[in-house]
Amino acid sequence: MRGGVGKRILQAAALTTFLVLFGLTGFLFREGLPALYKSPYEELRFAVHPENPISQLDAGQVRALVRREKKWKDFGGPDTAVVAVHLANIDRYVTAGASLHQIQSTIDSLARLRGVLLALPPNLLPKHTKPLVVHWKGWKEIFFSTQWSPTYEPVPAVGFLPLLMGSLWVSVIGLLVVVPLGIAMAVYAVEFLPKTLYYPVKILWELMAGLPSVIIGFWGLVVVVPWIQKVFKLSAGETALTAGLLLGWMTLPLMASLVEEALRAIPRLLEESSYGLGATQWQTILRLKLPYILPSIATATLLAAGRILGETMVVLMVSGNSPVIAWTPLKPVRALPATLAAELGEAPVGSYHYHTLFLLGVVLFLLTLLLNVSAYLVRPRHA
Amino acid sequence: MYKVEARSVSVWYGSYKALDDVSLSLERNQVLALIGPSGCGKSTFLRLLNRMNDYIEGFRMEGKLLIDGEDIYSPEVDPVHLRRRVGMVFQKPTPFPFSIYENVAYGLRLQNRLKESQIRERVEQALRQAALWDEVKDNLKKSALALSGGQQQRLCIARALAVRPSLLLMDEPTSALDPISTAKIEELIHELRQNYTIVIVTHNMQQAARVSDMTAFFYMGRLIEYGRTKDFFTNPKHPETLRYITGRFG
Repeated sequence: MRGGVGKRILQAAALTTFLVLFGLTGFLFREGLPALYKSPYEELRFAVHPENPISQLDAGQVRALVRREKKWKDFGGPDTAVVAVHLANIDRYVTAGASLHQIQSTIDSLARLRGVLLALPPNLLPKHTKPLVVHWKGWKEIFFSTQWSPTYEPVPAVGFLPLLMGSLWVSVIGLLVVVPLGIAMAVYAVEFLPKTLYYPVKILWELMAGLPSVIIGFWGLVVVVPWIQKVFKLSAGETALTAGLLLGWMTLPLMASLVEEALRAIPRLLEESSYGLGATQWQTILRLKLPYILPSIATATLLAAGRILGETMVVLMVSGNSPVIAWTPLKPVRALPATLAAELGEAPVGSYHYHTLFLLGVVLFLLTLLLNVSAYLVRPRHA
Repeated sequence: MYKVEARSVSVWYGSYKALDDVSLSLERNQVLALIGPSGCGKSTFLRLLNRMNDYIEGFRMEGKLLIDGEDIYSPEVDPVHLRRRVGMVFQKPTPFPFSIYENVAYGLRLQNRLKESQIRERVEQALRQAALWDEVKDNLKKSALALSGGQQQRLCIARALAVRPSLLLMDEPTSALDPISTAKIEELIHELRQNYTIVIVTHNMQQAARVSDMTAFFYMGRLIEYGRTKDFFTNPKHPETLRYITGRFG
């Protein structure tokens, strides 16, 4: 029999790998998709004072009231201050160690205030109040809301936009660093580096590719962050720019290796044809070689983008982790994978927060898949 | 004045001696065929003429090599300028991955002093000279990679001619082509000799006899025999030459 036992072992290994990958992807989707149709406050009931004319609001309006960014008046309600009462702030009104009975009577007396906004489990809700319907807009809330505050009580904000924007800043800056520098490094290694120096340089550059990202993050925190802070006179050096620079630098070995490989694969006769027509070395590089490897450069750029997009540790350490939409790269941002790393450990399994984080994972997975498929589609096909 | 003149040229690659004391001279508007078994030094000699060996590691040369009376290895000569006077065609077609038009215009654009209308003129002229114009005139924007092998090689000849060299080097230009394409290229060489001096390396004895005025036989780095092609094949002076051209070795 051909292959025999060895072949079977390899087959089993391949099958296992495939099943595990398939299972993982399935798990990601199974845990992530409920965020699209569940609501974060299914267990809560909202209520207001019976004389309050407002009977329905959407989640963002409730959040604004609780945060005191808006008043009842703004939505056509009474001209009184908002008194929010929910599980996370009940301790403001009762002393520590109060009995359930004492808590209930405190809630009952708070409910008599005209400006009250109650968000409580049904059994704690006082009798003489008016129910308030709070609309949750589902996937629109996730993809169009501009705030990320997934543990905010009683109504969390789970807009992915600030996180997507964070990833976008970091990736764009990273690519602006890695693409030109990676090409330059490869051209230098192939065209100008003396042979005796090539191997030492190449070894260093491969070593750089193997540096654990936490080391790079630490170095960034100690060296690059203060530098950025000083150069741009910022109050904090943890910005999108800092993370982008470090990620671009970190991805350099990958980019440079891919471009170098493509440059070395240019047929020697083609190169000689250019020289034979009276081209200088620079003319040959700029007019023949770089155009020739353009598909490889595109592939390498997409692969580098995938790497930057998926990188977690460095971004977590130096980006400032502020999930607020940044309009300049000198603001702290938070990227997708860093959010997962920072929050997944704290989100109770099965909670709405947990589902949104998995949905974030699904988005990250799809973006990376898109980059890799594009890289495959633009790969070089000549020769 | 000779078009090409070699005086006691020797070449080393590191410690390996590739050419040993080669001297020959070639008149203007003649075709010189370089023949000999693999590794005999004929390609090395060809590539000396446009200084294509310069970048090979360990390359060293002694003797004098003159083109139009000028020592092309003197320090004042810039190989980049030399190569605009000495065109080269390789053993395989080497079209660039651009359009047909841009391939022919490549060498012209390097010099940055021609207007686009002049470039267009020169491209057409070169394609006509290479007997390719009629086949591609309607598809100049098409990728050169879409042409057949024979067309690609004629495109490479046009590309070399567009820069207006006076000496054309051909390194086994038909070794990768079918017999019909080969015949077309040979016919082309025949026509080109009216305006150009051509040095061609070939493995094909019949080809050497058909296209050349002069033939040089190289063996183990030395020029064994050099003379008019007519005499060369009918009445070789050297026994090694006779053995080679009758196919007894090589």
